[in-house]
Amino acid sequence: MVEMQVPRTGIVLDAPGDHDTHAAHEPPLITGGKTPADVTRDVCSPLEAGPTRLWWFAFGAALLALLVGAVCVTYQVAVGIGTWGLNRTVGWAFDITNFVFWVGIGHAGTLISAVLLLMRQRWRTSINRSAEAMTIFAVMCAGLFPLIHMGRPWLAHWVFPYPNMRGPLWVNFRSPLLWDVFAIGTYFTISAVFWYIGLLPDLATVRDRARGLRRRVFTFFSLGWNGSARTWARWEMACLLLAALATPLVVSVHSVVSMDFATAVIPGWHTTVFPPYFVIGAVFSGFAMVLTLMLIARRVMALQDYITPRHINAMCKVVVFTGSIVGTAYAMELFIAWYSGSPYEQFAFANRVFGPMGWAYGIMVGCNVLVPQLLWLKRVRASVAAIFTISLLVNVGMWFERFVIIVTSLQRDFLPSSWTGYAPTLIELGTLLGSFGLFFTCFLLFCRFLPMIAMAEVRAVVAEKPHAHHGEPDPEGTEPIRRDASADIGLMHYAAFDAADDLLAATRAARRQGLTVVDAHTPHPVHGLDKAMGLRRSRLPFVTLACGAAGAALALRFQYWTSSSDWPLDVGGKPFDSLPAFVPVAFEVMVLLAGLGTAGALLVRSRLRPGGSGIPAPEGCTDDRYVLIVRRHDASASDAAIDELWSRHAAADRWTEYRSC
Amino acid sequence: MDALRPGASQPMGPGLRTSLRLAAVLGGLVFLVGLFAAPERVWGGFLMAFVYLAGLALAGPVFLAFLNLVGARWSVVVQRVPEAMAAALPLAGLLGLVLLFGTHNLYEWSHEAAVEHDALLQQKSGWLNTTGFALRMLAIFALWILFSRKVVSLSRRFAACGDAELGRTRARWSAAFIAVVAITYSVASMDWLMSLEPHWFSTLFALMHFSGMAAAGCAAALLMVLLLERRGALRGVLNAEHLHDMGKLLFALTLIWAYCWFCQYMLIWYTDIPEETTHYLLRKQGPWWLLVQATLVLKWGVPFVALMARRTCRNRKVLAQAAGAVLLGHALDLSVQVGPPLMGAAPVLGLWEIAPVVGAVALFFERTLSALSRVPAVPATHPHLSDSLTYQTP
Repeated sequence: MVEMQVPRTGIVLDAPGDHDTHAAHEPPLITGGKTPADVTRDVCSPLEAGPTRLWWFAFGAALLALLVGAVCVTYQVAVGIGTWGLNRTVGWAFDITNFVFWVGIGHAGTLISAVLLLMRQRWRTSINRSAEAMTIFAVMCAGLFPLIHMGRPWLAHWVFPYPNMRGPLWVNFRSPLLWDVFAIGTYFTISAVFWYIGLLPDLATVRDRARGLRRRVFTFFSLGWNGSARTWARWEMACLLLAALATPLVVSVHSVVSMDFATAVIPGWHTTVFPPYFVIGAVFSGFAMVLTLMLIARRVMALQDYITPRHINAMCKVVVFTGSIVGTAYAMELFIAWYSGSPYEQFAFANRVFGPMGWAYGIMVGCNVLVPQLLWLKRVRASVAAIFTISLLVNVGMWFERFVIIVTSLQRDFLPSSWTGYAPTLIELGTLLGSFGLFFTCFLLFCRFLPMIAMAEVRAVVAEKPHAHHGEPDPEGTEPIRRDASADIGLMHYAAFDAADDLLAATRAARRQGLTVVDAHTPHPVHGLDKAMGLRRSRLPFVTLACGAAGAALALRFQYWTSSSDWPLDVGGKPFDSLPAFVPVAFEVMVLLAGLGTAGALLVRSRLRPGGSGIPAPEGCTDDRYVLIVRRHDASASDAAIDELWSRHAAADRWTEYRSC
Repeated sequence: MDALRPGASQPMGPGLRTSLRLAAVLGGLVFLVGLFAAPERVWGGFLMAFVYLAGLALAGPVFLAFLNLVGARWSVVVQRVPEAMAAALPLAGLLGLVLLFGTHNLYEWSHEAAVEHDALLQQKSGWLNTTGFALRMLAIFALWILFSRKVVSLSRRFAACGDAELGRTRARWSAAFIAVVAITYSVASMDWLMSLEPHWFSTLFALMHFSGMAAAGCAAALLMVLLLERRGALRGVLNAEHLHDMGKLLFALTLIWAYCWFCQYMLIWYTDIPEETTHYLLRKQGPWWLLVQATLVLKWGVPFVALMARRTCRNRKVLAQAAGAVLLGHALDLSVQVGPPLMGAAPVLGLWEIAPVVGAVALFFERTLSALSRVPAVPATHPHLSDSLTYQTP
């Protein structure tokens, strides 16, 4: 029994032998002994070199598919929805199946970037960037289908509630289809904002390595990012807040999509479990798609050291877990259909399993429930070929799940006289192909022009030494993240360090010596630096709360006003003031405003604007150098003392600059 | 460092122990008297008490299984609490056996006369019959007790030696346990609660109850962690980071419960199909609707507001109050679930309903805290203890 001293201050001594068990249990996340500089080089150099032939080949294929889709959509818009195989009974089929499928694919991206961030799962860092990009492209593909389903897409703006010339006629806030507009719109916006905020530090890295046009473009988009510790503190807070918003958002999006069906009285569509069941199915299919793409990307882009067996193993576990939940939900649906005693319910499910489209149900159960069970076996989780096959099959299975739900429920109406079948036309197949073309075109462009691995976050993973406890306590006292400008004027003493720990120790020592720590510039958020510098916690959460509360209140007020006072209209016998029906839109607007407000506040407070206007990044601090800036506080220390301080903490470089802005 | 010394802790003072035992005995006495004085009312109270106790006792090992499965390290200093919660599970099974004698007072489907004239109940009689109910009850508790014992003992053994192979076995059993619970809890919630209204059905019902049970279990665990600290067993080891994480967990679980509640209510309200609206018809009237709203406020509103901010989520007093609200909200939730089919339009919540529930909750805490006093409060040799002591929540 080891007797340990645990002082109240929270500094803890390790029990002997701890490091060994730690190492024995888990292989490292990033292999190949990478340093922060390696991360920059490995991720940036493919962008800086010309595209490979393999890339051109893939891009050509994707573009061709997109072209096929464009031709089909043009033809369909010109001629009409009659070019699809829909009929009087089956009014939704391929179009909405594809819509739900693509929305679902997007869910893994948000799950990886938001939920896993909240759960402190560090393995997300290698894959979150591309998964988020996938989310954005998948939502774009999804949005395409309701748009073309309208038949007259040039009137699409009618779905938005705006004052118009058609009398005080508002959109119907009691319709789940309108909730979709808000849910998908918010989802796309917040995902894009979250993605862009996360990209900022990496855009700055690419900027600092580039010349010419590329440098100008990346200077514009990196918003003057300089790796300041104050900006990092706010950035981390903003990411945390956006993650906290994106988590319920992603649940709400597929819940709202499921309500397109579940609010109907059609047997097989109306069941209360649909919202969580759709969400978990979406996460399942999304993870399968992430696996498919990552297994390709790691091979093609030579990222084996960054997307390691540990990442793949973790994703496989998520797939088998969510797949099992989906299987339980299938069983529950069947059981309750029998238990309900309702002949319509019982018939709908008997028809689903044994009816004319029983083969599709078979594919769905086989691919979604049975095949993923193989992932319980460690041997299967170690085989890239097996995982790749399973991930493809899950994608197929989840597409069929939506097809089964939509088509088998519609093809058998309450009236047997209108029973019919459904078969897609070539135009519909071409449009589906086109959506894949759009997805892969966007994804390949992303791989080509933007860093597909979150360099800053991976640097933090490789720079962190396991169990490195900072020996000294942080100096007392805090100061706000942003101070008045006078503190930033005068003769500044700079030192560059090669390791984050040296920077941390130097920061603490400088403050203890009575020097003013003006700022630090680092290539990744350094754990504990905010405390060492004595920075006060960011107040961004208050902005989020205020914007969110305002969004929810405004949306509720607006819905009540349009639906029950400005133009009360009886829709489906619902009361004019239908609070339950107003909740989804109120929630979406709340998240939208809260997210935009948070991101906006980050940009304003950290003076991030296109092209940048603040202090430029010291050399190397968007790559692998840690720069500390201190300033003498009324002759409290001599230059020699500062020099001695730098030497004591192994500064690689030191200089002074006069700063007047 | 007292907390890391071997030897048992004393989580219960003599006062607390006496009052918990007294409450449990009184609850039992009221039930026994009620069997003769007011059987039609006391069985409703007993059902709530049983479901409450079984849920809390199951929540502990399920929580532990999830922590094991994902390899959580932050939780090592608090993991004795979910381990100990399983100690009340056999007792819950015993109450389940007693419940078998009350089916006739509770469930319409157990009346042959009623089934005879009801086509729907006849159709369902393959599932809803007293023999099946009893067999499922036995199977459910056999599985829960078997798996939770295994998971808890593996967790303790892993804490003692830290053997990597044992860690993998622990994860495997945990995964199996979660799969078993997913199915058995669905069956249990449909049997015990949903079949009170045998004509009504909802596919979301089991999940909603599972999340509600998990939230109540988390609240109970949080209260006991705070109690352990107050009694000195975790002092200096437990810090605001652990409490913050447990608070966030409680926040998330109550939010999930509220999400499920809203989905079920909204979809049934929206579709307005007579087979389904029966469930809410009684509950949306007069006092029942007030109770439903109070449930939502206590089980979701209070923790949502109280635990949203970082500062309050790390405050012991706020945490304890939020956890208390959730436990009270869970009792109300059970009462609006069980009450309307038995009592009709007017809620009657008196001694016969309240005493068994209070007794069962007291019994749960007494059993769990006794189990806690038999082991050291902190697994001092756990291989991940130092991770748990030093981690920081973002």
